[in-house]
Amino acid sequence: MTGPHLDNQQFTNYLLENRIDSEGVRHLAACPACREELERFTMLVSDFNKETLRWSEARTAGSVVKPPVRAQQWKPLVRWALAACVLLAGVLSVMMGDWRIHRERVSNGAVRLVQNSGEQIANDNRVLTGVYEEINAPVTVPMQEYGFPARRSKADSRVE
Amino acid sequence: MPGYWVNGKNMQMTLDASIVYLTGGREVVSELDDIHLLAQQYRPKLLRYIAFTVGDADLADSIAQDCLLKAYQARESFRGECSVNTWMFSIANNLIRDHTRNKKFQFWKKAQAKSVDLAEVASVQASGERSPEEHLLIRERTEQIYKALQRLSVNQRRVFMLKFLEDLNIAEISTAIGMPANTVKTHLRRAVTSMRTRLGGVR
Repeated sequence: MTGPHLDNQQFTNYLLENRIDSEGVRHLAACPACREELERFTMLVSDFNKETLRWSEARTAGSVVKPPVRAQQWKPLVRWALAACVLLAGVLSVMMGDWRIHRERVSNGAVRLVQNSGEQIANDNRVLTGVYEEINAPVTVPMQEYGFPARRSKADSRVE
Repeated sequence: MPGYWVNGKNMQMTLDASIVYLTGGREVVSELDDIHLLAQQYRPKLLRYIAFTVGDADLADSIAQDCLLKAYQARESFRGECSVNTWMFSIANNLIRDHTRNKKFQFWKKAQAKSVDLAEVASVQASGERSPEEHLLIRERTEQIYKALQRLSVNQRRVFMLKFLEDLNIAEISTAIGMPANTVKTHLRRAVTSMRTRLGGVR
């Protein structure tokens, strides 16, 4: 045997990078204990590798991975399309209802008059005259109904 | 490695994703497009890695399943910057991390209550029947490594397994666990030293 056994750095270098310094090479050539240790380490890890892989292969042999169902991807789209259809139908029905009412008004003559036409002006004059007459109609004071003279209100006296 | 002409570009298939077929030189279908092929190739490795990392075979089953589904769903985001193998292990590591973060208490409780059954590992028959002596020997060896692995820190155990069981190099391990290469080397050296001591080294 030459010199001390392989130190941790030499041992690790040999296992990880498969390189060892010249001193280590000389030692390995002469030291059966270190050679045996390296071989044993490698063999134990290799056996563990094989056994555990065999175990996991046996464990996963019967199991099945189900791919995510792609069919579900169109479901949200269909939902959105249905919602859009319902909304569109609602808007259309409201619009159709308004149109029908408009048509009915036109057919009843409610919207028949054209603004600033002579007929419209005459109509407005009639309405305004009616309002004026209503405002200026003589008001019967409740006291007068019983034969008492009507009192003048403060507002009337102020106007005078 | 020869390149393939895809959509007018010479795409070098540097990934180890096995090319199943090329349709008219336009569409490349890899193992990522077939979840059954993906499971067949990677599930045992993932299960083993996860099981010996978290110490619970049932939990590892569930995480491995999630890992395959996640890889399948995210296959379009795979840019081929690393191999599919490395990518799968990086997904597994993220899932393990998420699991340990989110359900830390339950996880450790569970991990302590159940560990990988070594009797089950040793009892799996090889191609030929094993004699009782061989069975016992294998169980002893497996147990020896398993116990030594359990004494490592989580990071040391992960890098040791990726290096010696999954045969990844330092750069791949670095990508898979999201750790700088020098840190990976340090963990690996410490792990080997610790394993050497526990397996009865001459020093």
